[in-house]
Amino acid sequence: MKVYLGASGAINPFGNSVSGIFDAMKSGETGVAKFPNAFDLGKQEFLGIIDEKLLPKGEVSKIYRMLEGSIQQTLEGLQDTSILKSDRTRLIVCSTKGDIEELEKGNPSGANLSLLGEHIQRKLQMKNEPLVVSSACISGLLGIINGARMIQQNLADHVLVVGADLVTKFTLSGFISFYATATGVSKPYDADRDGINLGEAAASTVLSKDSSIFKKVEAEYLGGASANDANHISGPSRTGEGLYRSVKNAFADACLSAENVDYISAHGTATSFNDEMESIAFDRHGMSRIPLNSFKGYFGHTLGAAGLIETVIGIESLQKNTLLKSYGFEKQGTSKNINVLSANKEGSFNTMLKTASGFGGSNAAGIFKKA
Amino acid sequence: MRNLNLTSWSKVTTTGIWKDAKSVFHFNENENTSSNLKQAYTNLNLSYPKFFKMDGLCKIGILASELLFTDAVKEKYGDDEIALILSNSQSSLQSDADHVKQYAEGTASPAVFVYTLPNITIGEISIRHKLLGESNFYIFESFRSNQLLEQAALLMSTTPTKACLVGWLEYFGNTVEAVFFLLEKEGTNPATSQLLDKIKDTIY
Repeated sequence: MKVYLGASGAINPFGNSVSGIFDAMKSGETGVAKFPNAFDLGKQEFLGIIDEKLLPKGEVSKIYRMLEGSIQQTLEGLQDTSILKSDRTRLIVCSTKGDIEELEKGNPSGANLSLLGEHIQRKLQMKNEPLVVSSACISGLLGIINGARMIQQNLADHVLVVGADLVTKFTLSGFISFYATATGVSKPYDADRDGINLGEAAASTVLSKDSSIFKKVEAEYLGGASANDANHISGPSRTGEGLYRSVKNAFADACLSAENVDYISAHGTATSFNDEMESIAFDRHGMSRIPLNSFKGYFGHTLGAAGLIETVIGIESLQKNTLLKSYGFEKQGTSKNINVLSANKEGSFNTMLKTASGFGGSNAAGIFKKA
Repeated sequence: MRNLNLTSWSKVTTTGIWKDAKSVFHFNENENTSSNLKQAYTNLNLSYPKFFKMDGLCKIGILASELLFTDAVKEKYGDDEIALILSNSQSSLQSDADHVKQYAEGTASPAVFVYTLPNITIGEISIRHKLLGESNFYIFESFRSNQLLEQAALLMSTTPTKACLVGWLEYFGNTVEAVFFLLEKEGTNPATSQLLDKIKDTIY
């Protein structure tokens, strides 16, 4: 059964539409900015923070305003929004920490992740209980894969997948304690990369067995998989085993092989170990010549939202026949050769491999074809 | 969708540890949870020193999975044929609160921060048992056996998965609970929502 994807929405520091975000990236801007004393942690940090003026008003917490802003775009991309109220429609919500600032304020129940799901379900009057995915930095991509499988197995006709994470003192202080944050705008895959930039984003998309529910079909989901490294909880495998297997199983699921891929939208956090690990996994698949980029230098690492917002921007890239340069990349900085885009590239690109990796040894890969 | 069999289950609570309704270890009610978990580790002959670095959520996850992933079970399947689906309502709340306390005092540490994600439990179990299969962590308002069974069946139908551990685990304040179920294709004990709910709700 075919699974179509469309009606995508996104919010990040660049703006509140997928095409607007893509255009800003294409022009070579970065949405990552300097914060001299970020969250009063006494340290200069480079972060992708969303300006309030991009967000709708009303909701009390920023993460809910971000979600509402993204979902608004998704509603506009559907022919008929009543499909959301069907008992054949599911909701998947992806986040690592949700509204975690509530915990610091002494309100642990306000920080509970299931609230995000309930909130969206109620707002959109959806019938089925939401599935809230919290699997670190692969959550967003895993949410898409999970939703597509539900359609393939006839558990649902349509699945709304949403994801969001904030930049908070909670996450930033943790990454600083790991010495994992960059001294400037991050430089994925570059020889001089020195860490991540945290960013905040919300994104949303709809998967469906029925292409007619969309004003415009953006892509077809071809296959996906996840795999664990079984190696270390906070460091990637030296052999890239989990990522290697995710990609291998995604190819098997899609009945495709490496030569069918035109473009890799990779994870590329700009930490030394992660980017090195990815180069090993892609090299093991003989994918060293396939154009590849990371979006982290444009708007930071958006954690649980990353796999989702990067997928919808990657698909926009196929739609616009333009692969974006991997922001911050100048000279090869991984032991295995990978074809990191050092400039925007125009042409006809149809099939994208999207990958993500995260804490807990988690890895995921999804394959999408331009509609 | 495929019908699955419940071939074994395990439970860790504030009072002890059970496997398939049989008591494995009784906690000493005069001791705190942390020392009881340490006693359980010794009693189960784990000899896995990484255990002591883990937060409480991972510790109870390791103990509950240890009882299900016997050598016989692991030998039956390839390293990518066993999937892990875990769930709870409070995510990593205990470690989250510990991290908040630390950064408020300006002493955030990687040793605590790394446990502020619920799926780290999946990572720890995967490392312990060399599992490289599919996995996912879900947050539910409360225990959802129907969702866990549905997701397990989904993985069995769409991925290399042949066996699936599904479970619920919470660890914060005075709450200590892990209930894990091993689901396999072969077997004579159909895994139903009612059966899983009953095991979760029964006080042994």
